[in-house]
Amino acid sequence: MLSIAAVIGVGCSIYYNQTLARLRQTHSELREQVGFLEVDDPTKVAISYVPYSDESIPPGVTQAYVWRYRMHIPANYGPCYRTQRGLVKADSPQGRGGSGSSSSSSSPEPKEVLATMALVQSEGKWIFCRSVQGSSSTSNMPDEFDIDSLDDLVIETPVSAKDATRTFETDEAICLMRVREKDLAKKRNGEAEKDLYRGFAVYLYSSKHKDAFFAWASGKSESMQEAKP
Amino acid sequence: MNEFPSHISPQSTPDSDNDSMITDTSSRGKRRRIRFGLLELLLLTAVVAAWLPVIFARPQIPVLESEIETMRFATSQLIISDKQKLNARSLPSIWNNISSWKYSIALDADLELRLATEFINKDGFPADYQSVALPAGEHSIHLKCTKDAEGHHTEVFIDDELVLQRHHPDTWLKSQGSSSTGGVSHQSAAYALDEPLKLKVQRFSIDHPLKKYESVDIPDEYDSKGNYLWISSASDVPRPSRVFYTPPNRHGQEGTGHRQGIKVFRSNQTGLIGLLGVIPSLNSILGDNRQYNPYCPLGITVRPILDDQISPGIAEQQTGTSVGVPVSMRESIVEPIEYDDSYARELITENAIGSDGKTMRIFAHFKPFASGAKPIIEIIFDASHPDRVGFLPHAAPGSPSMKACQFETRFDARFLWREVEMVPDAESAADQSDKPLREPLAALYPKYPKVDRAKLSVDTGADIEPFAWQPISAARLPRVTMLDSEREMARLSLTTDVADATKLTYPVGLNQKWQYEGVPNRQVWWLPTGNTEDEAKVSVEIRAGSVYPDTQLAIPGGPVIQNVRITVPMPAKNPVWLEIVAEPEPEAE
Repeated sequence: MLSIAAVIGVGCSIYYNQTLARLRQTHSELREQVGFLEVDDPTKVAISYVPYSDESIPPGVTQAYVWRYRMHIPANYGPCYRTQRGLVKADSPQGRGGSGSSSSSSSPEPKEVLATMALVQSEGKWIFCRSVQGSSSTSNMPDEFDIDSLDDLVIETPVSAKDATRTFETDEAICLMRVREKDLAKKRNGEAEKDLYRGFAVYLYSSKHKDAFFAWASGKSESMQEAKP
Repeated sequence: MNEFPSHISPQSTPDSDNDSMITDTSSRGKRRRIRFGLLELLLLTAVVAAWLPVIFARPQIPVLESEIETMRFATSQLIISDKQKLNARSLPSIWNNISSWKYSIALDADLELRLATEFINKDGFPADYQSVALPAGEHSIHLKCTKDAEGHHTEVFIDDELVLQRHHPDTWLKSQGSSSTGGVSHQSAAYALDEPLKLKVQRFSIDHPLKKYESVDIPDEYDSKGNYLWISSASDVPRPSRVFYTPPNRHGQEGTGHRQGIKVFRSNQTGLIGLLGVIPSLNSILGDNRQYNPYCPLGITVRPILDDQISPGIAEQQTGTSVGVPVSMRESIVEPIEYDDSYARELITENAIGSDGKTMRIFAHFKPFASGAKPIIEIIFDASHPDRVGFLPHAAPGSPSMKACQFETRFDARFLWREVEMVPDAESAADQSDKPLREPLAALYPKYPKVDRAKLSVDTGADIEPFAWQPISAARLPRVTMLDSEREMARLSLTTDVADATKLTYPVGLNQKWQYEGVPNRQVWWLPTGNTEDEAKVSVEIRAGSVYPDTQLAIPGGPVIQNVRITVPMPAKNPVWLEIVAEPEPEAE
């Protein structure tokens, strides 16, 4: 009896070790390509950077800048997104111009999603597109907003290609993308706008803190803080 | 009482019994002793050593597989699991106007990439499409759909090469929204070569005809505009979409009839039992809220009248949950073995369609009425008239003889019909023209004070009762010669004076099912004239009311027609036809 158990055990052991070795190799290769999302605490939001090759830009697009993240969304988080475009502040979702919001229902299980922020130029126009796990929203950039060179703009992302996974508390507002000019926006009379730049920003926050976020975004309170590195 | 075990012989002595008991105890003690040698110890160690890697590896495998799956999604990597099949996956998009896929096929796959932007329905693949041969090997496909001031543009690329394109002017479609599906997972999978693979099925909704910033969803079986991109065997020719529609499952309450026109259905839901539910064509009620299940904007009850019966009144089994006796719908005129009063109805197949493909006939079988009458209503759809449905009553074998069969409409109040098109009264000196006139209800109820809108009051109980049935003289109905049959028919046409029902203020508390939001339309009955020998004289009555049925809530704008009753003498040879048709749009000045 023991002999049979030992023989079966050896067979299973070989099979499982081979499977594990194969998976580890694939995992390692993919990690080289897309980075690794390290989730130490599943109750927090974790974001890692995913490299995007210019070769992957589809035809029909003249030019594109793409930022892609892998995000761990904790259980019962209820991810909400808000885009502010026109005039934006450098450290909050406050601004002037257009805005759009969307939300997903809370999931009892944590999940990993792929988020893409892209500035796409097609037919001479620049469009900002946010895609997260099948849902997306787009904003047309004003004609006068020049995106021909990113060097002239301030680009803020939660993680960069150099960073490892970054972790956020669930009550923090996470700026997924902020693109703004370096100088303050000008009024029609030539004076500088107070703390406002031309550009756009995308925030992620939990549905549990929706009211606090909106109060903060509308400038009525300092009920939330932008997550700092 | 004998307490000895049954196997002990009665001849056994007490001593011999004791000996055997000692021996038994001793052998049991030996069996219990565990002998454990060095060999066993070594084997046990080997077993533990052999299984430990398995124990450690097993929990890691699903974690790694899950992480690999999510990481693969972030790449454009295609895993080829079967080289003889179509291997494909969708790619994460950077812009929602561009959808991308990666595929791999063998040299001899002989597949095509096909694109259609019109005639998209769930009945099958569009027959009008553009196509390009799908190159063998591993390639990517990109579908770009955009709209600008010039119109709607669809472009398809294989790798970086533009291979298919369709462009439509801006006037092609007024739409604010669309819905999309696809049959390709973001994980690599192998698909059969002989099965078409839907990459993207995008169907546009259309702008609401009356409300700003609202859209109308097009039912799945109707043709819609959009973007349909699929991979198919080059030899596969899509069959043309059908003219008639039968629901694919027994619970389908979208109705049977014209695929893009009027349909009928039955339901066992409260208030609908015994009713022939009528769903007018989309264009006839465009804009109406169809978000009810089942959607039953109009219905018809059937009342048989026996030869010796004066009134059909009690023949109808009317209770709180039903408006008539349960009805089954079949594709055969042969009575069902068991009448179907369940939620699931009998499946109607394409056998109901005539051999010429121009007509479809189904049969409504009723459980025997209280009078014993067993009418069967032949329901006819004519491909030339998608807004019409015909009814021809028959008597089932064994049914008492019927002298007539009545068809009575229900839920008319929601459409706000309050005029009847009639030719001028020959006896009236005021009428000088032969042209049909729209007679208001007040003309039909000259002695009925309640139709005076100014005096309308709903505070009194009397006002909540429907008005009396009002016969419409056959002589006042316009005669029309049918183009296809050259037969002359009488036309009863009910029209509305409400150009935009969405601007009405409905009474507070009114169930939303009564609130019509669609285009103005008319209820039309095409009736045999009774002029020839084979045509019996059909009689017509209407009944108006000032409040919504079963409520005390006044209908905005005053009384409307609530029911139409068509009495068809039996035996009937020619059907009566019901048509719900949109009023033509007023000509621009």
